Amino acid sequence: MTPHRAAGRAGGGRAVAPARPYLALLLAAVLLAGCAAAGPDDANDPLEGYNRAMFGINGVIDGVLLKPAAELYVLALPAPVRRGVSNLLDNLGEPLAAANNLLQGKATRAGTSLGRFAVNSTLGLGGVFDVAEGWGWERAPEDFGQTLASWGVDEGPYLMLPLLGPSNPRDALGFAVDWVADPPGRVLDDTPALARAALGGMARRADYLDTFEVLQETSVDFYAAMRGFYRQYRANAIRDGAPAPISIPDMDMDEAEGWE
Amino acid sequence: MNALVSRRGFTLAAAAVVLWPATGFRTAGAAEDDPAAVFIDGLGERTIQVLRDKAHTSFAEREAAFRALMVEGFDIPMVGRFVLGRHWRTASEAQRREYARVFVDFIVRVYASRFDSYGGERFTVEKVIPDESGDRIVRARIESPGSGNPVTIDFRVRPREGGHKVIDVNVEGISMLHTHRVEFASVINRKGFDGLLRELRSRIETPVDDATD
Repeated sequence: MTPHRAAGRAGGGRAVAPARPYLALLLAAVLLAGCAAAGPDDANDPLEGYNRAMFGINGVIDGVLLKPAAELYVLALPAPVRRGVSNLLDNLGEPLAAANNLLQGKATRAGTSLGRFAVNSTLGLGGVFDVAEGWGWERAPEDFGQTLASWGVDEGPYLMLPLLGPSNPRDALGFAVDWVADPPGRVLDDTPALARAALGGMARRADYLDTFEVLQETSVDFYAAMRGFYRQYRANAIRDGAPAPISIPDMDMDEAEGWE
Repeated sequence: MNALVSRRGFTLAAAAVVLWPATGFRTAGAAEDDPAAVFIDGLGERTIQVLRDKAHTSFAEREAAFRALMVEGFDIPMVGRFVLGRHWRTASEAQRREYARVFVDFIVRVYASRFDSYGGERFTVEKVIPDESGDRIVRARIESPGSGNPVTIDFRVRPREGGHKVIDVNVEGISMLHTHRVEFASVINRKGFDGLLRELRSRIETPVDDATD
């Protein structure tokens, strides 16, 4: 976005952000308004036709662009270097995690994120090494989508975003807010900000080259599997990794009577 | 930016589904005496044994070994029944019989394929979390020396006659039971029950190349 953004929510709310992100927020807010709550077993996918089409388009883009780039990245750089790149990118995300932890009233986790940022940015040579992890300071990631969830905002219908992939109105709004508020993002000019995003996408994709292939081969409905993954993954992140409070009744295939 | 971060976590979780059987299963001190933890540790140890011979065995041989492990360690009839949800009720007797037959092959193929692509990860049983339902949730952790953050895996273990059975594997909050359930429901809604049976059969019949790495 623009290089000279003023501070927003996370920075203390001094001045006004440019118009474009506001449009994104407005759009997401409109989408949010029309959303009803859904149970965990519900597919929650009224836009399935559009979503499947966009999933297909994203898959094509992945095949011609992201996946080949990730393969080159793996060929070009040895694993320890790639690990350093991932650490560096993760480290840049710590201030935002701290802000979102604070917004959720999680002071200890906010302290962990800030502490990690301070330690890894210095002793970890700008974030290349995760020194704090070795001290038992594990990442405490939070984003604004999770913050909204902690404030009681429902996820809304499943939504496949162009390029960005699985989402929903709540998480899309969260993404827009995080993008605007992200402290390192406010310092970086357009070009390095985009380079950071591109490198991030490539590094992430590189970690899971084989994985996605196996998942695709073993799924009977890859789209539905990914939808299930995304929704469960987000619910888990919102619970900060606590086991899902579910109970699974006993049953087996000899029983004739139905169970729901 | 943050959607990339969450997407990354998401792909990480998906990856962990594939990578859970790893080398060097070890039990952390606190969980050492818990029967459910010992059970998961043992299952992991034997999974490693199968994967250790990778250079000298074919995929078919390893799949056969996985089948034995899964039939013993997992409550497959219960899993198969649960993932069908309400569609079990509307299936005919013949469809149920056919489903019971192909589901075992399907679930073994799914896990064998996913297990088979393991790398040099380290697997540690961390703790056991009792669940209100009486299940024991055995929490394990995978650390990869090469890249990525540690991944948390919860095995939902249910006491059964003379031991335990795994009824769900949950990776970074993603339940395999739940994922198969929504996936199967989606196929049945679009293609009917026979469509699901066809899809399951086609996954079983697709040959798996032997890994060359």
